[in-house]
Amino acid sequence: MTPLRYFLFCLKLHFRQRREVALPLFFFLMVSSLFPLTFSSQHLPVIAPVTLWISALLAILLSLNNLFREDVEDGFLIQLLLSPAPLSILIAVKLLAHGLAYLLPLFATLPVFALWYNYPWDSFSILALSLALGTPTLLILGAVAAALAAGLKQSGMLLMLITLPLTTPILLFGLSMAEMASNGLPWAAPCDFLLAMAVVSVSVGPWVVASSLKLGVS
Amino acid sequence: MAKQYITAEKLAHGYGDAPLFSGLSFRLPAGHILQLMGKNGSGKTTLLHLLAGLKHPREGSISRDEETSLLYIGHQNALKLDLSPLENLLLYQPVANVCKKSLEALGLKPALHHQPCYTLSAGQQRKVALSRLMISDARVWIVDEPFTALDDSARARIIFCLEEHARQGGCAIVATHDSLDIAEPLLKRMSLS
Repeated sequence: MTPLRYFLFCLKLHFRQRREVALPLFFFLMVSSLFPLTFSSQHLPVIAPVTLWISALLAILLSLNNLFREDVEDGFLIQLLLSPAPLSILIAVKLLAHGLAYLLPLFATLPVFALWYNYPWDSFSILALSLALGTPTLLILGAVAAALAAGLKQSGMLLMLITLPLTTPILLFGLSMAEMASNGLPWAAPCDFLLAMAVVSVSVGPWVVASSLKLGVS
Repeated sequence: MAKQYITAEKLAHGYGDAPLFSGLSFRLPAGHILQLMGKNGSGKTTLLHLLAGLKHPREGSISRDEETSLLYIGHQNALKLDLSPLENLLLYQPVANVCKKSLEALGLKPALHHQPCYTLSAGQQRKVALSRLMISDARVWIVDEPFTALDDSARARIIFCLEEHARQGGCAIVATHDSLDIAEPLLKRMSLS
């Protein structure tokens, strides 16, 4: 099992399981669509960043519910643990494939919401950038919790309880970045924080996830 | 002297206060197959996990050459049921023809090679998992209950495959209740009570 072959394997598997892959996206679309139906149009640009960020966070957590559980149940996790390739590299590859399968479609729908929420286009690009910088960190924080809860039954709620408090700073900085941009204020500081968190989580995250999985198995 | 692939010294393990086994010592040299027998719950799978390095023993030590590659086929087939047998095997062996030959050797018809694994019977899924024995270049094989749901011809093929592996200088540990029709010099037996 080489990392490249495993990456292609994961992508192929996501394609075959496209119905399951589509569920978090539909969840994101439904939650984000409820607010324009219930709020008056003048409030929509104000609530757009909060709505999209929280919907994205919950959709990511929903997608992570099954990240390792299936591998535990079908015995595939043992093959990952015993593979000659380092587990952290295989985990990085798995998370990359997961991100491509779940996050790319989510980003593709964002322009629709810019129109629906009457959100100004110049600020919308900053909101999209904040999501692009923040979601990898959300994904990796959730993956650590998913790894810790992999062997447990009913792990979905535990995943939420572990991950939600950890994601609060990302959420706050993401929202402040979008809000500063829409008010014409400099937004570089929260952007730098999100970028730094993304770099740290992408470089250290797979190793932490791998260690959590080994801990869970032993 | 034959190379010792695995050496276990005074192993002890258990769950909670109940010990599964203790004082277990053995060596597994190249060219041998160790058949692990014992009742349900006697600790066969746990011992296999210890030998594979998936768990740490409570007492004792296991030395295994880290350079030696290992193939583990457990109770579960480690198959992704949404993918076909061929797609599952291509993860471990990139040459499709080699994978197809190994599937055919265990009696899986070419028409089934491209169907999702969830359409296969339990026995056919087991065959896909076990066909990894034929495409692997690992020197140490650890196989847990390989014959579950297998028909006689596939069973004979697996035994032949184990024998060939031992003759070529590899070694294998097989946990099974079934008798292994392998000549004595190649086969060792160990029972957990």
